[in-house]
Amino acid sequence: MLETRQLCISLGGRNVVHEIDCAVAKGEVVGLIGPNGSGKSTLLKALAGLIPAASGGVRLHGEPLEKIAPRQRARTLGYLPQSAECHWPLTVERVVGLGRLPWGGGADEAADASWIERALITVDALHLRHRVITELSGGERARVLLARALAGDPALLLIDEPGAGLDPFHQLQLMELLAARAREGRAVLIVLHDLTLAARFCDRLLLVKEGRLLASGPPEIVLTEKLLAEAHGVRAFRSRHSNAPVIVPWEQIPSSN
Amino acid sequence: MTRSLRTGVLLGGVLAACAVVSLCIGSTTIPLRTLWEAALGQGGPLVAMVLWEIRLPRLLLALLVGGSLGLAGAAMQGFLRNPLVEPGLLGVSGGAAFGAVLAFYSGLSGAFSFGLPLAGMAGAAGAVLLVVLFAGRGGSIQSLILAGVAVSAACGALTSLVLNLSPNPYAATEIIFWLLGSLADRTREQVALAAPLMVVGSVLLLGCGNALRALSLGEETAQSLGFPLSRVRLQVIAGTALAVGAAVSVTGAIGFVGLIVPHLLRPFAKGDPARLLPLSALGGALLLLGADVLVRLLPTTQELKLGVVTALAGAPLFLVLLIRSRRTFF
Repeated sequence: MLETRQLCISLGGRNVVHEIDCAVAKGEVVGLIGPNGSGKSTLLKALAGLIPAASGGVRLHGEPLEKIAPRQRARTLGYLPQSAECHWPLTVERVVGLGRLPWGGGADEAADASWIERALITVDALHLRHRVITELSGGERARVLLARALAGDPALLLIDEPGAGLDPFHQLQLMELLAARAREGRAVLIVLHDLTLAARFCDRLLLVKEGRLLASGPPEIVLTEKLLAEAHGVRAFRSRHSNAPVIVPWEQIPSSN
Repeated sequence: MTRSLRTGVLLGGVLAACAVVSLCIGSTTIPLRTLWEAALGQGGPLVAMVLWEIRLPRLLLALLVGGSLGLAGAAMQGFLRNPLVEPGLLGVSGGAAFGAVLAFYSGLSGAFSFGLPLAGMAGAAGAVLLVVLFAGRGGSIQSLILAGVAVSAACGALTSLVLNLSPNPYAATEIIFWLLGSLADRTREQVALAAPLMVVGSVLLLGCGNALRALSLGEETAQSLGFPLSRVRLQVIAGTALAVGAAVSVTGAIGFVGLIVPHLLRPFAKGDPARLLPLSALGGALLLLGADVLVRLLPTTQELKLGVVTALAGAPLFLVLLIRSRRTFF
């Protein structure tokens, strides 16, 4: 569905992403992991078409991303940034309705209303619909903004660290809902730090460090002791529960130099 | 009926009533019935002349200028996502004022009827081009604001310079009075020159609604929703330059309308920057027309300048709003 070839990105003259080859296919949840400042968010933005590639490129369904009309692209690619800013005191319903803008923005109000309601139910926030978003808690706001991204029903959803403000219940709910979307034939690329969630819910992982792709593949191949040490400089506690891996970062590895 | 629609209808109704009043009052009060007959060509030629040459252009100018200022204020606040922005921020008003003042100084304004507004429009266009040039093509919103502030300051300084160099106190007084902003004694030709520009600018700004809505969630989200920032930026700047540049070129700088009207009406649009656009256009037209009726009714020896009245009324109103919104906003 979405793939990059030798993608390089520079921001303010600094090379942030180096020659990354990656792809997201229909029906999968792909996790993007790596230490802070490794270029995860930058890569995600490039995949969403928000920043241009210095060289190489991004293709959506085989077509260069920059050649696709903005509205068409917006219908296929959903993007949920890390920041939960909302500049005006809009009601939750209105905010979620913004996700319908690529589809005409108010052209078909009944259809929009049903999409908005469905998205709010999915993230367990229907009871907040008439509240003003600026008055919600951080976690509630994060869920509402997720509903905004879901309301456009994108074939591929690109999400940047959505779990940060969420309580355990809603973190699990989020991951389950993303997995369910993938099973329905859509795709998700998610930036996350929780290794257990990554191992359990992602079909494939991309591990980046200093702008380079260190490893990619199924979680058991990427989340090895060696790669975790190399990328994050940590040793992890490992176990299994209900047939899924549990990986909890346990101690820092003292640096050799 | 939604709250914003109700507000719109209400504003429209009051505006229509205010428009009728503004046609009736002036140096002599003309009864509505006499005006109506004159409009149908049945009254005396004098009343018809007053109606078509003086009162109607003045009414039209109030509606267009007020609407332009309110609309541009709402669009700029939505675009920059800042409720303290006024439409002159990008140097449009300052540039137009400087252009007009140059026309006064050079005698261009006296040479022919279009001299003053044309010079003002050229000044507005020049200022905006400079701002866009300084901010850079892909420049951030911060650099746009800074460039706007710098160009506005430069225009203000140059305006002062012209005043400083003006040949005699009468010339300086004429310029200062013009700068205070007024709708009085504008010719039908001047209105006809500026009106299409204000209409085109307003159409451009009204077309930004969905993009401004998307911008509520930040630039990246707006872009991901299919609204390229560069295009929105161009549309807002061009629309503001046309609407406000043309307005200031004919009437002089009228402050506070573009700042306070969107602020005042935002709760009625439930914070939605798109619904705020038409509401602010109506509100701006109403505020300016109301102020213009007021200056004609006030028994002052010399008619108060419109910009003085809007600022006198606007500043305290703004403070009241600030005190009230302190509880919810900060």
